[in-house]
Amino acid sequence: MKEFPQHIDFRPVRRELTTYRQIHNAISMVINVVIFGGAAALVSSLTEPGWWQILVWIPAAWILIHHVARIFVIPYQVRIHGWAEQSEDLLVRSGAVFRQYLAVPYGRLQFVVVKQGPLQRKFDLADLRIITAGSNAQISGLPTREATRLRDDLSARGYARLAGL
Amino acid sequence: MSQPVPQQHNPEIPWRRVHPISPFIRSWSVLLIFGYLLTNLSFQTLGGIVESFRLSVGQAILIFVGIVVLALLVAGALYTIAWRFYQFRITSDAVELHAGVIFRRRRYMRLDRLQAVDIDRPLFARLFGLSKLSLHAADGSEATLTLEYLKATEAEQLRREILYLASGAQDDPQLDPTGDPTASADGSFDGPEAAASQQSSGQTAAPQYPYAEYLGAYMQHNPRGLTEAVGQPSGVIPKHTAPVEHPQNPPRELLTIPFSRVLGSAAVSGLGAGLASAIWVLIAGGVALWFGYQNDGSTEPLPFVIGGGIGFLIILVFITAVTAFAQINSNYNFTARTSDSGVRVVSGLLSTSSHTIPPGRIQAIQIYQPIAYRIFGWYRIHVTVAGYGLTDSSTTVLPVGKFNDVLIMLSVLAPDAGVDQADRLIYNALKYTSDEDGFTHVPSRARFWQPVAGRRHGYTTTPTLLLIRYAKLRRILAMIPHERIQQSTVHQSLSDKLCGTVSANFSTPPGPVRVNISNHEPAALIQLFFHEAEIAAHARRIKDKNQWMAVEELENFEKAAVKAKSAGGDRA
Amino acid sequence: MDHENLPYRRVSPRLIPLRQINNAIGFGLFFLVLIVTVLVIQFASPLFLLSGTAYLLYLLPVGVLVWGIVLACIIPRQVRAMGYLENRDDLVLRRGILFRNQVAVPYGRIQYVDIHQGPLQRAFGVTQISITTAGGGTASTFEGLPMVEAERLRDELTQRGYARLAELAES
Repeated sequence: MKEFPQHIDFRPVRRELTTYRQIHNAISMVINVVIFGGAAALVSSLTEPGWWQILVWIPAAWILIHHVARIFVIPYQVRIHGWAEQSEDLLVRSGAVFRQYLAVPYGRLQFVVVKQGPLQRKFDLADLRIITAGSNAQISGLPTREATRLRDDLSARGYARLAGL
Repeated sequence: MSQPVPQQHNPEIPWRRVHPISPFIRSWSVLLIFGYLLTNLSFQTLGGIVESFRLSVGQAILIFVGIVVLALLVAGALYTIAWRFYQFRITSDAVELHAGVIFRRRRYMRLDRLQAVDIDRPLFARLFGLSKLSLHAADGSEATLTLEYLKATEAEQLRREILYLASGAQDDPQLDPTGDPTASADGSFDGPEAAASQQSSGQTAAPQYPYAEYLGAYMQHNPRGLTEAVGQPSGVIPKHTAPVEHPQNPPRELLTIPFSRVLGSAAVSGLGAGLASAIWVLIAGGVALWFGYQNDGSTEPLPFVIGGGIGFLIILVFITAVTAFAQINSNYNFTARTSDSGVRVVSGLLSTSSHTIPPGRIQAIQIYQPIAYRIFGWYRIHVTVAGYGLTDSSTTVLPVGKFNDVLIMLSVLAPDAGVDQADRLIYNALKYTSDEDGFTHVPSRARFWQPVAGRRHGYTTTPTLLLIRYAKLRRILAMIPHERIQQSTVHQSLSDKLCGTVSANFSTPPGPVRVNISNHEPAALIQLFFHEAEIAAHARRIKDKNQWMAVEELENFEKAAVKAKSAGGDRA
Repeated sequence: MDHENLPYRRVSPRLIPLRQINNAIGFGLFFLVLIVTVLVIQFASPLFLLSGTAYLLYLLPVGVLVWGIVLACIIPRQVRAMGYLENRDDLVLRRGILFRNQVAVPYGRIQYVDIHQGPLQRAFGVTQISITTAGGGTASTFEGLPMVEAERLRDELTQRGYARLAELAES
């Protein structure tokens, strides 16, 4: 989407998000591959040998490809991910391959959720989720302090335009 | 800020209960099953029991009657407790509900959060002259507060009271409710001329909904028909029978759907559903038969063909009848009205229902024309209301209407279309497909992804509305007021990536209206994205209201907005 | 998170025994069902005779028991970590020790407030308060406030938005 105006200054999220996501991805890759691969191995060991046994491995292979592809995509995703506080709305940019720009008017936010898991705390990362009546927006990998600041600011800015959902 | 706010607890406002027989009506199906089981106990089993306990016939009857009486007593006691513990009250700014004996539940809803009010009369309750009142807040499809059942008159009275309190009109001395309702109704009954003069004399007057004024923009297509229907209210309003909702604007009937059209549309959609299901069954049966035929070729095909034909007809007739009857039952005597408390649609044959949607509660509008409706030039209108969610029966504000009816409804649902010839716009959107009809199109390089609808799928904007058009065979037009957009997205899907286009989504609360635009020119769509952000910010300032009759709320919001903006600027 | 030094209000400590009871009942029943099932399998089917690894089935109920005990140890800390803060513009609810979660609901966004009280909760004098906004149903459910406090909070929540708005408009 080269047509999107370049002058908007998107603030990047923390680069540590890459590390966190890579670790997360690696762990879930191991778990998924063990589960799906184990299931496939079990099925093929219990049944009569035949050509169709290759099919049993498809889910495991697909999961593996998915996670391996993510290893390469994650750095780009994190580099692209960012937000911009405009005067009337919050812009969020995300997506490495399938780019997405999202605008939430301050006057339309319903509530804000800040989440932090133990591993995220290690890297000082927090997820901020903005819920509107239509759908949700998420900024991942904010510094904790920034997430709290943004949470308070969003509430205050949305405050003046409270009516009408 | 921490000072106690007045009108918080009004101990003098008494708690109220629903009608005492409502637990019975709510559980009449259970009672029926109980009765059915009781009558179905065969005399043989009874005889067996009597034998085995060596009872006389008199004793047996006594015991039997005793059991029935005991069961009824227990049920009655439970009902009484359930009824006693279901209490509600309406204070000047909230509705409160206390329910439950073991698991207690207290609900507190501010009245200015009200999104819609329904009164339903299911058949069984209707026999007793009772109605069910449901209040909706913006929380999805379930009713926030259901009062079942109330006397019909009490339900009407409550609805009037609630809508009046929710409108904020009581804070306005001009709209004093304590005055004699008939007198004030007569006093202000000057029709649109008075409304127009008040409008021109200044903005200090309570906001009016001068539909007749707005209808002007929707009227040019067929001036005579519409003027007859709505433009001359004196001929339409039954002055004596109309209930006084507010002293300001007497309710006005917008349209009724003649029974012939209800019947026609029921037949059409019934036939559609019947044909579809019959064909599916036929295909499934045919496939099954074909497999059977393959397995043993000895079977004669002819009886199966006859049987299949009869089966096809039976399914066709049955499904058609059921669907058509359901349609007639819900759409019979469909009437749309308007008043200060918004739009009200009333309909129903055996069970009736009425939906009232206050002003500013409509999040989006969709005009829909199924293929079969195109033969007759009929349309359907669905709206997104935050309290209704996806419920089909509540969100339909016009089940079957001609183009004129669509315009009449639109003059109330979207009173200000923002352009002069709104009727021309709607007409083009629904009936035309040309390259210069004001709507964008899917660029030719992306037509592969939308071979049929590509030429029609597009959008246009007016100062107040975003219009999105879909589908070629059916006709769909979504109309979203700018200020109702909750969140907007531009993104690229795989198909977009492959042909260099962009898709967008302008989300509104969950509802029947479609809000996505796919495969469009990137530059134009990104411009729309920013244009919407800008125009919606402005529109929100003007349109966002909790209490639709309160004037000073608007000013407060305006001041607050300025303050918050400057505060935000300091922080940034 | 960054809010440690703010005056969060805690929920009633009586929530701890209540949750312990709920936890014990829940996991106890689960454990019993599992152990009975495994015992039935052992004495009514030939599975245990066929292979010694079948005794590994006993790991299931033991695992459930251990998990229940771990939770029982966490509960007091969990309850102590729950808190709410009435900010100027919004109500902030926080919970969780390992997985931390903060929800901020602007006062003016609250559609309605529910207060629930079941029989066990009544015995311990606590309630459950749920706040619903237009954003996909219940924004937050919060257990452990005494009835009086819950009602005060509810009135505060539903009135505060308006007071704040008036203040903004006046100044």
